[in-house]
Amino acid sequence: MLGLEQYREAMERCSQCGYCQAACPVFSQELLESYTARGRTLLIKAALMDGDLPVGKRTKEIVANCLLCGACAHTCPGGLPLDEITVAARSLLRPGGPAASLRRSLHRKLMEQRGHPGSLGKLGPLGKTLGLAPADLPQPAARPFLADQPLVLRPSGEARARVAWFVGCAANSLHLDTARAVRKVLLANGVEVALPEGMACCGLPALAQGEVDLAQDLARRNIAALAAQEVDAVVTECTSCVLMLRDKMSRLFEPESPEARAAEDLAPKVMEAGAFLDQLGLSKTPRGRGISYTLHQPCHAAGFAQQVQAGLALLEKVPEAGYRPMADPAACCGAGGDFFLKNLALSRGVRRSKLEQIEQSRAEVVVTPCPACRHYLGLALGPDKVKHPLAILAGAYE
Amino acid sequence: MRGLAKDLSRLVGPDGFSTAPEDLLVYRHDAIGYFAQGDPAAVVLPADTAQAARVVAYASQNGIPLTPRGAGSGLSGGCTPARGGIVLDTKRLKRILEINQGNLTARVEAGAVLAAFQQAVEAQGFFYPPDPQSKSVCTLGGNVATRAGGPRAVKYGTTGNYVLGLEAVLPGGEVIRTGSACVKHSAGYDLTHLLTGSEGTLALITQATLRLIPKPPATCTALAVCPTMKMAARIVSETIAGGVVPSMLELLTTASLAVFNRFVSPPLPEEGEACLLMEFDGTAQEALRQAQEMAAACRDMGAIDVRLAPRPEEAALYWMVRSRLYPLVVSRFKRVVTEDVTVPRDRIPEFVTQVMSIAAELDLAMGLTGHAGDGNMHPTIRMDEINPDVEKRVHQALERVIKAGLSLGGVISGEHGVGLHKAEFLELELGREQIALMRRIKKAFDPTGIMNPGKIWPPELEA
Repeated sequence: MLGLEQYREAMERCSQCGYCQAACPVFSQELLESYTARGRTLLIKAALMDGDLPVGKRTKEIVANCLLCGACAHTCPGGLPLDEITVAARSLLRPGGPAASLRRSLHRKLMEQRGHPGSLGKLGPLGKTLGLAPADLPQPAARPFLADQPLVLRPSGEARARVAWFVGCAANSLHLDTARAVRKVLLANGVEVALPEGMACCGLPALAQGEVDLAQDLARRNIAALAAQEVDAVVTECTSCVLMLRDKMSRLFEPESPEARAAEDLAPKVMEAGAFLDQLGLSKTPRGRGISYTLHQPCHAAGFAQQVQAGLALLEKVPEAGYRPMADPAACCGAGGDFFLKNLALSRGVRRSKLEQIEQSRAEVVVTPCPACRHYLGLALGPDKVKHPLAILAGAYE
Repeated sequence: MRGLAKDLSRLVGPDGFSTAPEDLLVYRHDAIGYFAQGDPAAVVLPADTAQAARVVAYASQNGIPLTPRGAGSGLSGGCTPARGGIVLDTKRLKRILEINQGNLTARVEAGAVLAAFQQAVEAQGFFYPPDPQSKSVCTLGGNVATRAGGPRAVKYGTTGNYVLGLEAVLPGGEVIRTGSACVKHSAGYDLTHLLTGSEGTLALITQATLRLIPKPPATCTALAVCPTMKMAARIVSETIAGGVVPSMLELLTTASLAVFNRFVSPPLPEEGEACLLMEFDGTAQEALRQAQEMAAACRDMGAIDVRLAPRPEEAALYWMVRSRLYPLVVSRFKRVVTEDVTVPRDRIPEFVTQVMSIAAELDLAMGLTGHAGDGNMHPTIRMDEINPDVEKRVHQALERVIKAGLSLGGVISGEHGVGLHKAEFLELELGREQIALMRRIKKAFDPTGIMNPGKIWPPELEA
């Protein structure tokens, strides 16, 4: 995932079949073919690589109008890395100027601090009142989760397994209930949990903005922090962190480079926390009363949907909890990271059909391991109606 | 085209069209990039028939070429705006208007996606069989306009067999409704089936009334790898002659087997020259019995690996790979040229022999995947490099394959349509008289020639 030129061969292998139309949430709303992977890739090649078209406002809009959900890449019969091509194009199209560079350094700070803005967080509500920040921007907790955690969490009794927990930015700064739930279920089931120092954001949000250099810096920090750990698995509660650490991190670097190798060594150990627990097996039986739930499968789980399913299997053990599947759990919710902040109408259109499915499922809550999906669906349904799957299990341990 | 954007904005609103070159790039061609030849001035996405009619009338009044488009998943260049002008994209006309259980019919807008429609129909216990392999994206309007078919044609026919009526916009902007929702209809010329397969050259299809049938309760898939292509072809023609009619019967060649082996386990023996992939339907017992009989026949005739996949999940994997085979193969080569010649089923063995000798004589890598059950073959020339010498040989091969098919009583296109790809060969099949008659029909519908110009016949016959 470096320069566009590295994708030239992949782009030339695009057969133009157009099957990507079937998967794209943006296309499903607009039905304009320039918003499909086929159309966008043709444009990127013509405007940004071959100089057949001048790079204007419309090119930037079309490159920006992608949720990076990766559904096209998973649908593509040729298996082309279509999402990465968009990232590489965004990297070339990054805006210059002092405002952009200020924004960039704020982002870097935020990502280095695991999603917590520190004292700047207090400016959020003011920014919203003044109309400087989007109203739908989530408000971080006053104190990040990790500020109050030791380096190692030890279960009572003998440890059945040892993991490194990659706490995602959202669990650290926004959804502390998720972080507490994960801590509770891991410890309750005899898992010793290392919280290595020096970890940063996984880097996926940086990629979405085309900040490949920043993503590489963050990846180097995370590799250094995690590679030294002697653990059975690296677990994380966040789907996007799994995607980054497991599938994308090695692709940030030149093939065969030391960083790429280190990332490849780490990748097989990375698991969603729920899938790890399912594999280990629960040693503590959940006894509390559960609630009915439906699953929203995040787009970033497309390459490892069985991990989400495994996490869901844990919930079957909760008494009286009932799974009520929706018509298409994997259909997009419209959030796309922070895409919804900039593309209100489009995201709401995608979310509308998801909300219909949720309503038809008649479940009490929606569970989803992705914090962006949770936030965006929560804006429509109410924050208590969307939870991390492990929160249901944690609730049954009370 | 000065003022075009302003005019279109008045006709369909600012969100109903684009004249930006960045948007138009992808509208220059269908699923075959090298058919691109004209540059469209605008893409228009009408929201309903009334808007579509206004756009067609406007194009007509101003002499602007107009090319209707569905999903752009065709393989003949049919929706390529060869003379520029307006691409009329029907994808926003996507509603399923009615599924009439009592009458076994459905009414859809042209831009409804085939797979979504089939899903909706099957949820109610009905069946709409036509299944071009781009079904996840292709539109019913596009299916009607190209008379599209797929593997199920062997038992259930193609789109043309299911169209009962159409709503269409004539080039002047008048909206007509042809046919009816009745099974029987014998009043007047059958304009419904004249427009079906007319590739957007006569009118813009905006709605279709389609026939449904009851859904067979079960299916069973079988697969047989044959050591030689000739053996596979013989199995096909002899079993069909023997009265066994599968619901799908696909012939795959070695290159396709390699693609399958990326997905199926245990792997298929790649030393086989050909593979038959078949589905039988009916009650669970009937489907299984037919599949077993076929499997036994294949073994008797010398197939080296015969499999039954009675479980739907397992069968679905084979058919998923089949539906993606074309793009899967294409993405492995510099260019792939796909033919669509169809021969009577009993002539398949001869056709196969001739195609293989053409490939050998011209030193080209050629596959012969196709819907063998209905005689619709897709001789596929795979190119690792593109240069004038290879292109010349490929063109020679196309011409010889087409002539071979015609000499066996076949047709130049079974399901893709003529578009740009086959225009130069149409006369070989139909002769001058029929083309002249078609030209007069075209003139009667579209006197100024705005509808999808440059298609079906070569430019020299267009005057």
